[in-house]
Amino acid sequence: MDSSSSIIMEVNDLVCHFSIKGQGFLGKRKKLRAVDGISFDVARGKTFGIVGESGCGKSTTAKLVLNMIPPTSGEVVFNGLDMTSLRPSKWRRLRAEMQMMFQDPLGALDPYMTIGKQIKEPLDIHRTGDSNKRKEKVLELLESVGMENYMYDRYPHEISGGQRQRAVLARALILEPQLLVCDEPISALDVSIQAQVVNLLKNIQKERGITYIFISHDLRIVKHICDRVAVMYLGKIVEEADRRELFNNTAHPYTRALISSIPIPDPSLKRETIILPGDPPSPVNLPSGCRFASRCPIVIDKCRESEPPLEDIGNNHKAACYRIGVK
Amino acid sequence: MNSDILVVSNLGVDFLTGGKKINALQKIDFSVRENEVIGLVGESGCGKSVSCMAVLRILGETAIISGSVRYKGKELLDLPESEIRKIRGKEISMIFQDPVISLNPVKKIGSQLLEIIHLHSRLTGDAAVKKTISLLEQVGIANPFERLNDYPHLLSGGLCQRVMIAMALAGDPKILIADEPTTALDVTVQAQILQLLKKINQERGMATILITHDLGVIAENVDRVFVLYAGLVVEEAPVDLLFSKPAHPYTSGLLKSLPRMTDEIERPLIPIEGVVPAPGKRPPGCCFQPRCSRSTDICLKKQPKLERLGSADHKAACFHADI
Repeated sequence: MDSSSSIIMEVNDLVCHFSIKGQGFLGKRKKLRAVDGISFDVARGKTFGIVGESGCGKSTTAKLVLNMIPPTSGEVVFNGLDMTSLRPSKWRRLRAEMQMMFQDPLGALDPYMTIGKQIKEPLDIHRTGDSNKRKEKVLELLESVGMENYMYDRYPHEISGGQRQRAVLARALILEPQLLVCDEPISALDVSIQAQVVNLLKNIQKERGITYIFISHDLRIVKHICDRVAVMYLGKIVEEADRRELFNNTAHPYTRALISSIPIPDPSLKRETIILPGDPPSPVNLPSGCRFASRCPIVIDKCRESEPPLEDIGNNHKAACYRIGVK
Repeated sequence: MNSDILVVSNLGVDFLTGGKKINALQKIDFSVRENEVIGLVGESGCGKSVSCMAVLRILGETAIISGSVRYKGKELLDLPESEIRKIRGKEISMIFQDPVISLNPVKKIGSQLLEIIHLHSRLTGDAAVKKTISLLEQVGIANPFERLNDYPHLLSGGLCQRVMIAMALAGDPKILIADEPTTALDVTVQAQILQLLKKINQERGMATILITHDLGVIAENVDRVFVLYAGLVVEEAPVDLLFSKPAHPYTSGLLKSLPRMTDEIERPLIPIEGVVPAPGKRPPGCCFQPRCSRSTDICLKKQPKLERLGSADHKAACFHADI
């Protein structure tokens, strides 16, 4: 397999620690370990999903892979180039190749700028074509994300939430990036609108062969849209596998609990929900050993002593647990 | 069958803003029986929260409420303010979506709870503290005595929601209204809270109104469902029937647009095209007609009434309902 062409992004041992103030006036500074050594490869033209609960580091990971915040250590290799060591001038040119889509479209759009102008702005900055061509391109793109021409002159508050998210998507696509990082792109939308945006994302991928990193807390959407999925817990990847493998042969007890917690819209289906006790521990004072030990239903003494490594368990499936195979 | 404890009929709400009347709720009918869990489901702006806030009359002065809300035969909309205050929290209480901002950030959990207990039961001193602790125990908070001196920001979202539930239970209400109680929480914590609400409902025999946009939560937790769209009830059914035989095109559209964990093969999602009409911009005739695939001439002219279908308890407001 030719890895240089089939892998668009390689993340190696990425770490991001934030320094936060301790309690009290003279409180000692503490380390918040948002992302604590994660590695994964993203295949070109596919969708790589990252799931986890709030505070697990999934949004920090999104910002790290786009080099929006500097990592504490580790590298992010995009098309063979280590981005973390690039000079800013070179890096700026690369930025057009990777774009981001955020959760709240109203917060992501400039309220004082028309939709058309905002979508066109990246073209102006990167000086692509003349002014007429730029507008033409924006109108073409508006059509392909399912927006009418007249939306060009509308302001964000004048259009609906679903339309706004389409505008955010159009703005991210205008420079024809190779990689799009979507951070909870549909969580702020109503159920009937979510399906519209999910289908749109899928069609765009089919047409353009673009790669997505799809970040979400909603396993239902992740199962629907992703080819490969990584499950994060407190800054670490605890399980990673191809979609079907992950959902059919779930190895990690955390992933199993996550899947079983999702309410299923079918009252005739009776099943056992695994209720995890408590909340995830704080990423400031991490316990020793396995991070999940305090909530794990199948914990043993060994789990509290040392942290299980993320190991290949066959079928291109990785999991970090000493108790694989135990239910 | 248990008897109705709360009957809401023809409930409408308009808001006065800038001299204009904006219609939020057109006409809502629902009822709750003793010990029953009902679900109000719908998208944002459909009126699910407004209808419950209208029941308790906590919408403020700009709201014009019409129709009737009868609790144990008593008309709540006609009660003087001093009387309705005896209903709030004591007979019908409510918990909200975001527990962290619903609690007072500058007061300790214990004193917030004690305030409520004093209000409802006139207990003071040790007796009140004892009741506080027993309430916190009932909602599954470990080491309740130590928690009394914590401020809300020290607790996680899940714990704050448990404290909110404890507060709602302080007056031993007969009905609990839970307005999107788990939307702001993580899925594993959502599972804990839903389990807790179920346990409380069974132990106390308290009726519950669960408001949510998540059809999964509805399927697993309620007995009867009311589907709301644009300030109207468009379908009413026992939970099994709603999911196995949805009659209204909006309900079946919602069900088709959901991705499912149980799908083995990849199934394309079928979205409902268009958007929910904003209040004040609702179309004539049936509100759902611009987005509906079954729409015909009559749908443009007349608003369908909520009518009984084949089996008892199953009603839909559609000229082309599936029977």
